[in-house]
Amino acid sequence: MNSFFITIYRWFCDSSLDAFKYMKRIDVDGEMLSSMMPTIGWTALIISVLMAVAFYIWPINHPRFKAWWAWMIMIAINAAINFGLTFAFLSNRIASIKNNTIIFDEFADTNGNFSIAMINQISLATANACVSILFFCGASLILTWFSSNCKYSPFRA
Amino acid sequence: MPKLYIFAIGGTGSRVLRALTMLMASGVKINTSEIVPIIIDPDVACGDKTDTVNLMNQYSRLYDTQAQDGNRKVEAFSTKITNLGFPTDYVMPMGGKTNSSFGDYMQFGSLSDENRALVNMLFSDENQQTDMTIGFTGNPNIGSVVLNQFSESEEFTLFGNSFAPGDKIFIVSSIFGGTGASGFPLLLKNLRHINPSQQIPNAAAIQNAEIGAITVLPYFNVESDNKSVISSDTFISKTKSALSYYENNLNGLNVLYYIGDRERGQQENNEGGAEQRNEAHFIELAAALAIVDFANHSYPTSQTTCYKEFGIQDNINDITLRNLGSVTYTQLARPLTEFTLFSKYFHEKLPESMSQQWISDYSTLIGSPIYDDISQLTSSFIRWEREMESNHHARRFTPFILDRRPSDVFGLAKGIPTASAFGVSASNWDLFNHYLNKGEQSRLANQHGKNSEGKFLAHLLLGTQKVVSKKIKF
Repeated sequence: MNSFFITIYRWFCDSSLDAFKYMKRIDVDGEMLSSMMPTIGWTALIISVLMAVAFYIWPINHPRFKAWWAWMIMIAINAAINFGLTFAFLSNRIASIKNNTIIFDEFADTNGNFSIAMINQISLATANACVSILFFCGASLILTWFSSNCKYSPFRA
Repeated sequence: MPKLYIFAIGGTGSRVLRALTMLMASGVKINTSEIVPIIIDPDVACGDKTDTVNLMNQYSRLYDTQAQDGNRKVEAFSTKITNLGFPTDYVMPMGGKTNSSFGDYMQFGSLSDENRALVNMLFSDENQQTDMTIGFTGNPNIGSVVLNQFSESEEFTLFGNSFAPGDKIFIVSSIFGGTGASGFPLLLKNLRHINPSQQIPNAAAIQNAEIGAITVLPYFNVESDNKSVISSDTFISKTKSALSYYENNLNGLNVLYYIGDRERGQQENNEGGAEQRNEAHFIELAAALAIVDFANHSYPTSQTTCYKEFGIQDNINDITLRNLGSVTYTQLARPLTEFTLFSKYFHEKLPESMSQQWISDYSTLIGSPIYDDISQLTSSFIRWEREMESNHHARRFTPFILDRRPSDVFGLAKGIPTASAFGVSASNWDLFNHYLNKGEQSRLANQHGKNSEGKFLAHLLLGTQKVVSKKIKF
């Protein structure tokens, strides 16, 4: 699954990006931090599916909240949630690195500080939002068949 | 299941038939598979009659779209209304020349001197000059002559042809008008004593059939009008004289229902014709329930007539469903509420719901003849209910809030609560569309409708039934 999620995120994000690099598996002198990409990926997938279920099945599934714009609202909310969660994962990762002396010494700068540039974090967060949109669209294609009010949302198959 | 032949005499007969059609459209249970209405009214252009005939034709067309096998889950449009094939739909022609004055009908000019003297003694000049194209204008003495001829008509033979042993007959008439008061005893006499020389088919079955009748006593007055021959002042006297005649001369009825009201409002004074279009009254609805009662029960003997009257639980002037007796409440509350909600949805919300999922299968039907029939019938239903609320009536039937209330759609039945969870509930039309969108309704509609029009109607009826069962606590 790690390879699968890395591949997907590479569609939306340069793999040489620092934020991406630090989220993958880190192996330094026998010290290891496992890859967080499956965690981010699964979280994005589960949240996207739950959002799609809420829209198509319950508790929304509303005869008036079924047009294409309603679907776009749901997609935007889903993307925003996953965008925000990325920063939480990154903070967690930074803390994990700082707590490991050997890994911290490997990646700290000359002043003994370690951080991930905000632009990098935003790039990864944007990629996560894009991946969640992809997952939401996939869930929509499946769940539309089971919806009573939103079967033709966002488009009629 | 036996058929039920309903002879509806005069304007009151037509209005009661109208009420009965509304009840059958809404799904009030009646233990007969087929109703055969026969309207007896010489008033060619009677507005009430015309409205009733149009309504029954619309009902029949909608009935024909529905599958009537044993798996039907909705009672609306479940009883067939059959036309015997008269030249004028359900209206039995009078026979003889009724499109003239009564004097011409009697061929007064060709009578002998002795017969002329007898006629002059029995009928005033005014009676003889009565234009019968607008009926008997409250003169049962005229009606008793003219209506005696109808059993010799071809249409009576048609009736005999279609009658089968076990079928029932019901007669609806008023006692304070012209046509009903004279027609009812004559009709009963002609049914129980068919002249063998007439060679009416199934005469024996007709003579031995279970026959019931309702005679409607005065329940409204008419406005005073010096130019009109009809006056409320004569209603009670006519009623008394008719009742005294019935007491000794009305034989052969299995059951006789009486209904009337001391509380009487005022209707417009129209002698007849297209302008005779009285507002619907609760008494007519109650009279229609007599037909339902007759169909649902057996009254096997005509040797001893069973007499029945109708009552409500509370003697008030604005009757809601809660003021009805328990039996009447059980008969009417759910069907009338469902059909009222169905009618309101059709006119208030359906035009805005064209993007809904459920209607995508029926989009080609919008504007079709069946769509128009549904639209007109539901309009007529709401109008019928509004008429029963009219301030012209002294006693009104006001069970529903008929005005638009999009924020509280399901609170339409006065005194009947709606379901909610912790005091919160969806109460607008969106819930209606939600249930219509469910696949269950679509599946059932496919079983209930014979064609796409039938499925459309069934889908709406089933969705209405479902949402009422969820939202309204009877």
